[in-house]
Formats: sequence, C-alpha cells, structure tokens
Amino acid sequence: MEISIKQLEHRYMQGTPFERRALHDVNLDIPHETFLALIGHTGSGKSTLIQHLNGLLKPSAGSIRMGETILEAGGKKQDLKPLRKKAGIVFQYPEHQLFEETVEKDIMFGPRNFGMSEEEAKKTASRVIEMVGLPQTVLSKSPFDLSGGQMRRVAIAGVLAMKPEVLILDEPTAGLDPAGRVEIMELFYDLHQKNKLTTVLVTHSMEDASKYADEIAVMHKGELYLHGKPREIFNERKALQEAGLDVPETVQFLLKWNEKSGQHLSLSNFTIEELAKSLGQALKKRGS
Amino acid sequence: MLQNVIIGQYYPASSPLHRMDSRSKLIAAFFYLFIVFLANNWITYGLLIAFTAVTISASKVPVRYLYKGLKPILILVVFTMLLHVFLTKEGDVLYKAGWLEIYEGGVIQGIFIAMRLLLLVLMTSLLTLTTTPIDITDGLEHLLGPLKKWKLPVHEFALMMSISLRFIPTLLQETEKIMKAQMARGADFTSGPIKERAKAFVPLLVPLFISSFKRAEELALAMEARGYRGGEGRTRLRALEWHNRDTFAIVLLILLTLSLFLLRS
Amino acid sequence: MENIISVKDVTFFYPGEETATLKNVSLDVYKGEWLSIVGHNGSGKSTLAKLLNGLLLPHEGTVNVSDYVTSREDDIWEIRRQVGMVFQNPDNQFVGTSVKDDIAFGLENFGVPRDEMIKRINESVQRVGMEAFLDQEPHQLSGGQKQRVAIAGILAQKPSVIVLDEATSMLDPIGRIEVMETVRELNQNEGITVISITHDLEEALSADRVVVMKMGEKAAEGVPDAIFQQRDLLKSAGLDLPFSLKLSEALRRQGVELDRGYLTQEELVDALWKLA
Repeated sequence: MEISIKQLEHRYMQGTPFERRALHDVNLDIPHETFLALIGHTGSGKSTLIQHLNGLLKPSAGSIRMGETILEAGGKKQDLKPLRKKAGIVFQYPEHQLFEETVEKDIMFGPRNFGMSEEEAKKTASRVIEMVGLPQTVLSKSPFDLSGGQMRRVAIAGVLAMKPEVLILDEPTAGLDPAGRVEIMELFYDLHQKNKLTTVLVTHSMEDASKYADEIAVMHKGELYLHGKPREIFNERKALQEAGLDVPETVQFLLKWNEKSGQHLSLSNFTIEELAKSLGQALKKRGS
Repeated sequence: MLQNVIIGQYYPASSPLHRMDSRSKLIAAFFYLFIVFLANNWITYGLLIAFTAVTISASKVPVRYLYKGLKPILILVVFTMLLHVFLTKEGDVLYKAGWLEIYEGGVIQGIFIAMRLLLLVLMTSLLTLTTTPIDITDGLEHLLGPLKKWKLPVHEFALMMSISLRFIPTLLQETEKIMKAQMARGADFTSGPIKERAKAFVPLLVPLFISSFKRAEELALAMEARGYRGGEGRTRLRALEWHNRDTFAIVLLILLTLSLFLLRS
Repeated sequence: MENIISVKDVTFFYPGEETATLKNVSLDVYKGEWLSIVGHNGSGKSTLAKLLNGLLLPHEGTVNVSDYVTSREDDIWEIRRQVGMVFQNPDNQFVGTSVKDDIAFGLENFGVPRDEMIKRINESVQRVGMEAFLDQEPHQLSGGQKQRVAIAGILAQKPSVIVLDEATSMLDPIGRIEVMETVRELNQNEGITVISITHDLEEALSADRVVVMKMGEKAAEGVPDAIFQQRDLLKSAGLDLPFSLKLSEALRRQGVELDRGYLTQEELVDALWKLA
C-alpha cells in the first residue's frame, strides 16, 4: 500500500495549557512495498508519526493518505476499522497487550474484531504461529506461562493474523538478547519480502536500518530531518551527528580506512561481508 | 466533565494557605465539617460565609476556577434545595397552585441546606487545592501516629498512599498504551451497546492488572534492596513544620466556633 | 587483589522448579574492578545478581560481602547498604514521589538523621548530574534520568559495590550513554566496584573482567581480550560478536591474512594498513 503524508502537524492536548507540538510540517511518501526505517531519538516525534498511520492519532493539520483512505485535519469522523486491519502495528513490548486464556484466542482477537469467522480465525492462528517460529502445541497454552521471548512472538502473531498490507514496527526488538533480536528482525524481513508488504520500522539501530531498509527517514525535534536511500543518508555524517546519531559501524570503519589509506572506497558497503570483500580487493590492488 | 471536578486536585500556588502545615489544615477542615452544622440562622450562616470567603481569598485560588469546579456539584445543591422547598411545611404559605404549596419555612430551610452543602464542598476543596496529596498523607500519618499504640498500621497505610500517588501517572500512561495496542487490533471502546462495551474492557483490564502485579513485585524487590524493613527505626526526610500561622488559624477557628454557639438560636 | 565479594559453590533453585537456576557457581569480585556478567536470557545471570545482596539466598554454598555473609540475618542490612542495585525497569524502582524523596528512601530505611540526609542527597544528586531535577516527579523524567536517580539513591548510602542488573536495556541510546558515563566515573574516580549484568557488547568489551554464564553455570571468566576470542562460547551464550571481530573473520574468509581477531576498529585498521 502506498502511503503519502502531507504537511502533517500534531499537537498533544490541543487547547489546554499543556499543549505541545510533537510534529511539524512532515512530508513523506512511502511507495508500495518499501521497507522504510524511521530513526530518531526519544521525543523526536517518530512514535507520534506512526500512530497516525492507522488512525490512533488524528492530524492537527495536514493529511495522510493510506491507499484509499484519507485522514485529514478536521475531516469527518470515519470508520477506521478497515484501515486498522490493513495497517498492523507491533508496539514496543507487544507482549504487554496479551490478555486471553489461550494463545489461540489471543491471536484470534484481531481477526475476530475485523469480522473473520471463528473457524477461519482458528486456521489463521495455526498458520501464523508457525510463521513466528513457535510449535502448534503453544496454541492451547496460556500466554502467561510462556517465556518473555515466546510471549513477544505470540503478540507479533496476533498482529500478523490480521493479514496487514502495511506493517508498522515500533522498536520490535527492544529488551531482547542479541540472538533474539536477529531472529525477530529476520522474521519481519522475510515477511516483508514474501508477502510484498510495505514496512515502517522505528528503530534506534543504524545497523538494522542499513541492513534491511530501502529508505531511511530521520526525525529530529518533530520534523523530518533527512530522507533518502541509506547510501545518501550515510553520506551526511555531520548532519546525523548533529541530531545525536551516527553512521553504522561498517561506514565508520570505511571512513577510518579511507582516511588512513588515502583510498576512496565506496560508502555503500553496508554489510560486513560486502565490506570485507571490498577491503580484500583494495588490499590486493595495493599489494600487486 | 471528569477533569472539571476539583475535589482532590491540587492548585499550585504560593499562598498563606498553601504554606500552612498540612496538619493544621487537616484539623481545621475536619473541625469545620462539624461546626457547619451549628449554624441555624442568618447571622451564623453569615459568619460562616465570611470565614469561608476570607479563607478563599487567602488561598489565592481564582474564584472562577473554584466556580468551574463547583458546577458539577451545583446540580446536587439545587436538587436538595428544591426538595426542601417543596416538602417542608412550616410557617406561612407563600404560594399555592393546585396541590403545590410552598411555605416560608421551606424556602429558608432550602437556602440553609444549600449553603451548608456549598460551604462543606468549598472548604474540603480548599484543603486539597492548597495541599499536595503527599503532604496530606504526611499530615495524616502524623496525626494518626498515636494510633500505632493500638497496632494500627499507620505507617504502612501512609506508605501505601504515597506509592499509589506516585504510580497514578504511570498507570494512566500504561492504560493509554494498552488501549492503543488493542484499538490497533480492532477493539472498540467507544461505541456499541453497554453490555458489549463492558466486555470490550477485558482486553484492557487484564493486561493492566498483570502489569500492575509485575510492577508491585519488582517495586517490593527494589524496596527491599534499598534496606526497607517496615516503619521501625526509620527516619524521615519530609518534615512538617508548625508555624505561628497554623496556631493563628486554629485559634481563629475556635473563636468562630464560640461565636456560632453564642449566636445560634 | 583484594576480594570484596566472594561467591562459593552456590546452587539455587526457584520454588517449584526441578532444574537448578544456578549450579555450583563460584566467583570472586575484586575491589574497585568493573566486572561484566554476560549470558543468554535464562542463563541465571540475574539470579546471580540477586544473590549478591541477599535478595535471594543460596540453597547450597555461601555469598560473602567483605566480612559479612548473606545467610546471616544480622548482616543482611549492612550488605544491602554496601551493595546497591539498579534494576532493569526505571519505573518500577522509583519509590518516592519526587527525585529528592526517592533518593531519601534508602537513607530513611537505614535511619540516617534528617540533617545528614539532606547533606547526602545534595551531594549524591550532584555526582549523577541531576541537581537541577531535585523536585521533579518521576513521570517528568526520561528513563536514563530515572536510572541516574536510582544511582544517586545508592550513592547516598555510601556503598562499596553497585550492581547493574540490565540497568540500561530499556533505555534509548542517549539514556544508555548517560547512565554508563555516570557509572564509569564512579568506578574510575571513586573506586566503587561495578558488577554489570548486560547484553551490551561494547560495555563488556570495556570491562576489566568478563564472566560468561550459560545454563546456570559459569562458562568462562577472564579479561575481554581473551573472552571475545572464543567465538563459539559467545555464540552459545546467545551473545553477538563485536563488530571488529566479525569483520576480522569476514576478512579472513576473503583471504586476508590477519594473525588474529581484533576487538576495536582502530586496531583492525592499523593491522590492515601494515598488511598492505
């Protein structure tokens, strides 16, 4: 699904003495099937932004178009359910939203709310539990008897069960150990490709952004600060540092190497394997 | 509408009333609850109103703010007043239309009751408007301190209160977060028949309870790690200080009480 | 080196569980060092942390803190004064209604007189750089700020050891840096011993010593340089490898003849430069 955000502004507690502007003049187009990484510090407005994408927050000014649905400031009250079905959000610490007696029922909660039949929802539950890498036997267990990592997978399954076309991920790996982080990110990336999803990933990790994203958007102080292909963004190291961020470690290493060797290796080698290859070739060239 | 109710809310300012010791304010407010009932004629009510007016002006809480907060309660006040106006049958008949008879005594009684209610609400509101919840808790702990002799868990009660106060904003944030997460999964908290709506809160309440229990457990552990072992041998950072203005306020209240006794009929 | 904590042959079961969470673990912590304890979720590292100040008691074995023993009831309060603990969730350890009140909480428990308390609060709040926030309420603070208040609360008790139980795992990068810099300063300038339970590789890399926990047992112990060369061990403990080490390996797969894995980017750049 194509997403188009125009002059979006959001003010919390509008009309009270506590009014605070969280977003200002954000313009962002996310083409169909794009994997977008949304980066920025706490308070930069990135959480506020993604909550607009399925109507949990309403624009104070400007508009958002999600496929056929248009949300705009002062617009008429509309039924948001169709939009919420299509745009699934995995919130931070999603395991905090589990509530049913069994894993199966919890996964069925979303689909049932969106009008899927009981039988179909059950089938869906058994399908998505495999997708998140858990065995069928988990379905009949209470979610609260599972480990933290398993609970997170169940919560993610609950969002996938709605068959979203857009997947919005708010720091989905927070609090996991390194092995768990990689597994969860690979899971999402796989889904993104296989199901031709449009994915928005909120993250603090430049490494994840460089590894998975087609495009990167950097938020700073409520505004869209930078937007472009990873290669373009990583060429703006100064600007990133001004926003309290930095380029990923591979690029840091390349910059260090280029400085030391006087070579100009391309900054577009984001994975360690690519970097090793390009360094290997550079060394051979010098050696010969 | 809920955010307009001011009972229990704090109005940040630095007035003589704000600076008073919470103990003297608690004693005064408690005392006031009783002496309001001493008034039974125009003079005594006038005296009470004057006293309340002075207190309000000493609190620096804007009258408009007070009025806004009282609005929801006004309905109750007017209703009680009308009840008395229509149902009390004393004194001369002022008005008669069919079965409806309004007596002079009823009108006076109605006005008095309405005033009594308003004065009570105003004074208790002033207590919470000028005293932070935590100061009220401290004051209560000190005032109820002697009850520890009879094994009443005064310290535990006060600690419980202060921890609840500390966690109210945290729980509100948490509620909002879970609510959004469930709304994203198609939950609807705002429409549909009442029975359905009540059911819709299960997905909100269960996670909230679970996280609160987890919080309580972790908090208990953190408290233990920091050497908490009950109220015995504990010192306190928060100290209450009794000033001349507190003594003055109490004396004033005693004078008011004496006058009420002398002037009531 | 002088021991400040010694854990001897400790075994621990949670009630109702059949397998031991900790099996025969022994560990010495030296005065003034920074010790990182790493391991996968469920490796027993958090349980180990809670044994260090007597929040949990071993079923077998002993835990000593200087001359005190956690299993002796008379010692436990002194141990808790000396061994301060910062937990994972910044919210769930903030007891007071304001920064000041929260720092005071521990002091109140230990019966410190009020004048002394005020002195210590003012002093410790400066050491964590939170003096401008004394009267703020917890919901007005960021996660990193709350954790710094927790550290100030411990400092006011004049501790000899600070245990960080994944204290930065719920923070954003800025909060993480704030907290780590605060603790590093205390460790280096004031000689406070730091025991840090963590997933953070960079942090473990800069520790004096690292202990790797695996399935309730101590799998390895040593200086970071030695520990991080053992790639299989780290993998099986659910840990990632540091970037420079991963790159060293990838380079070797490309036929670059590095003599060993390097832990920092600078070292690796230098090594490559010499090769070329």
